[in-house]
Amino acid sequence: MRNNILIALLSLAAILIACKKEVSEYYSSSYSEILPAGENCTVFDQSSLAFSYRISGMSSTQNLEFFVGNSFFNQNWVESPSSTTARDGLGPLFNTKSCSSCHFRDGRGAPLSGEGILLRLSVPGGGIDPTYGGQFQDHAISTASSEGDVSITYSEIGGMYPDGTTYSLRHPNYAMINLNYGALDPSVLVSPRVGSQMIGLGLLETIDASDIIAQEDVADADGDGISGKANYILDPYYGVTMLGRFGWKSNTATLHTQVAAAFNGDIGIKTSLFSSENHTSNQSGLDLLADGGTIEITDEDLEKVVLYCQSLGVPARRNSSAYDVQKGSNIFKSLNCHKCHTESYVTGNSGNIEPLKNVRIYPYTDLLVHDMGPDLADNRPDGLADGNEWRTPPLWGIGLIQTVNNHTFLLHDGRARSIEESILWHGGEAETSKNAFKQLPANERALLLAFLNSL
Amino acid sequence: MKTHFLIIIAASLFLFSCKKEGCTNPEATNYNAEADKDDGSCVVDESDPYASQKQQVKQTYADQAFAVYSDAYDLAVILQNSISTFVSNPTQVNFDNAKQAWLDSREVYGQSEIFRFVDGPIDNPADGPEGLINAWPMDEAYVDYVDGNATAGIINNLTTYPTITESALVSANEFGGETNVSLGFHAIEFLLWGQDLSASSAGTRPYTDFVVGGTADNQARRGEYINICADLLVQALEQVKDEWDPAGSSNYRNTWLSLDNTLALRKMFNSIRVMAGFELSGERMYTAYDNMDQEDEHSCFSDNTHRDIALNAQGIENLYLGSYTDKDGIAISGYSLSTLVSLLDAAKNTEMVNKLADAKNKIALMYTPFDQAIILPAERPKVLDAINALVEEEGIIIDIAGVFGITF
Repeated sequence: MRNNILIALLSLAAILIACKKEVSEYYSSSYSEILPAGENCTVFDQSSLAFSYRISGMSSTQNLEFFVGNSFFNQNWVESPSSTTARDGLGPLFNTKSCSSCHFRDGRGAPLSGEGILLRLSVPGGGIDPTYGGQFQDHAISTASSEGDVSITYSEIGGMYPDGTTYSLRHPNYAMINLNYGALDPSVLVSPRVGSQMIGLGLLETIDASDIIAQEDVADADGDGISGKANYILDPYYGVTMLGRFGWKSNTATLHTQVAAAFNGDIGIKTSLFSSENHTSNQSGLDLLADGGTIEITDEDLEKVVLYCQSLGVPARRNSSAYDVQKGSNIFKSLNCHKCHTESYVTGNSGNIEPLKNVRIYPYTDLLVHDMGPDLADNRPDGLADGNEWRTPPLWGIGLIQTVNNHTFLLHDGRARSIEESILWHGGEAETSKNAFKQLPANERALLLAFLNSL
Repeated sequence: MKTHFLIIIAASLFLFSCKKEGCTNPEATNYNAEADKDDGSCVVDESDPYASQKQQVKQTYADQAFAVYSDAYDLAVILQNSISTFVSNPTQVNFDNAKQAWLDSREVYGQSEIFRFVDGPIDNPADGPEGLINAWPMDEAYVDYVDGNATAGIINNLTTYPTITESALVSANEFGGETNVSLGFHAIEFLLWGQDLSASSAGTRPYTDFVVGGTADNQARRGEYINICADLLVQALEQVKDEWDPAGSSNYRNTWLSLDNTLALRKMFNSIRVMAGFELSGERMYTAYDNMDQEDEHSCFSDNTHRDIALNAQGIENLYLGSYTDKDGIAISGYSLSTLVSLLDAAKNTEMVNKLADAKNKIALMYTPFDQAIILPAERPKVLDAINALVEEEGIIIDIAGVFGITF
């Protein structure tokens, strides 16, 4: 009887201690260990707004322009004509009405229509679908028809760790149905993508290209099974071929282009950079609809959205000095995760945002593309990246996605439901590391996850 | 085995029978003055000589939140009734009464917005209804006719929306992923005022838009739509109010009062910082100032944005000074953040109190309506002055947070 009481009390105590965790986290780490982005670019909020804070140290003008960008990022674009003329011009075809619907709270999209996933389209050889264009838009303004609906179904695939623990991964199947503009090209290639968290993007843009290119090992000269390839792309903003850094295949070189392309492809907003609507000439009638002018967001406002995307800070780490986390960090290295998820850089000197320059950062990415194996492949080339290759995503902030977005859907299409599942999906160049992870005893797998959740 | 069950039952009784659980030790940093059953969570930090004052500040915050949301709820009910009266008897007098009820309700809601940004009941990620209450910009053409398109919107779309029902509007609001702004205060505002197409006045929608056989089409559907908006607004505010109700036992109020003192202070300072330096001066004022777009403002149909701004700033002051004047003009006050700050750093407290007055003064000096204040060359500098005063408030509150060892 006494034992039972003890057990009951202990479990009650455990519940209470668990509930208090949030409080203790604020004090647990020493200062220097918890700054992934230096004094100015690290933020200390751990609430659902953790991805939404401006970096410190910008000019007072930049500080205010951040908010103009913020408002254009967060608020819905509306159909023309409207009395909010600065914010009309939506569509006619679109995936969503605002940047923030797929980057909710500046965080990560979910694999649900309108909340963060879209399908890129192309045909073999590099062109776009002759009717549906380069992206499938499953929404339209009230006077037009959407391109159709996206159907996502999953089949569960069971697996087992060597220690007998079972797991299940969900394999997605994508279909474009209820098509409103005729058939797709029979050879169409499809790549699903979800929106990523927006933190620290300006810092990634400020890393010297040479520091990224130096990590390339296309022919795997060192024989470690990990190659790493830079994607190069013609950047329409600068008009020259540049190193790709952004997008799931590093297929975009600058945030300026990334933002303008997303306005155009995802929301149907024309900019000076992409001044045509996102439909093709084979989609009749769409050109006749009211629009928000020849340019629907001015260059000045676009620049402010870019500034906004460059200047969102990175949350401080939690619990980074905890024993479990330190052990997990060692395991991360012993599994060679850091060979692609490069821990640290010092940023360069480019750009006009002073606090982004010469900062020691910890993004955990090489920004290169890697063969991730057939299970993750979209089989759709994108620039120099082939159908098996994906960019190493930064890991900073990964432990706060649950807090910010209420989910942990990871990988390019959100198929992984947890960090653990995303590790188990790794293949190709990461096959060896993944298998080494599976060989670990359960407690060590948990230590690695504790480390990743502290980022 | 049997004893296990007994223990579990006993434990469940223990958990469910008590009215309010929390830390009951007044010396603790997470003392909950309203808890009547200690839950073993007390954290005593004997090195903090201000623990009791911090506790009282938390209490004031909770009391003020309930007071302001209660008023917001009551005024929303009056708005709901006025709208219902107007829709069933659409006259100019009833129309004007409904508009006045909307303006009255904004006087309190604007002051409540300082309770955002802490993951509390209004905007926590799980079920905070803020987006259903106060989202903007309104997607006008998604809801009703607009200049240049007489058949736009759900109200005029009998094919997709054969009947206007609460569930149809809620799902329409969610269509497209994030909120399509087709509900909330600003949807009601749009339906009462209509588009603001002139520089000299607010929107001029005629009341006959709601009279069957009157102006525009689908008048009855328009009435159903605005009634549902008002019902949903009342429901959303009731949800928030209940979370702060001292009569509730397991609501957010109890969570708040049980928070560690430093965490609670952090949340309060953060609200002020975000409201002053981010939401109000940045998104709501500087964006409009920068765009110089007549309708890129919060309450664009009614031309009431100047009140939104003043009331948001008043909310900051309410929180810092620990006092709120309720809808009947009665002042409610408690132990304030200001008093606590003055114990640690009297000079910074004075600086903040002065800056609150300065910002209030500069906001009052801005030209009305706000959509002209941002356009008229002689008036624009005053807007920028007010923006800068709010940015300075943000800077001071960050310094003050530093006094408590809190970094952002």
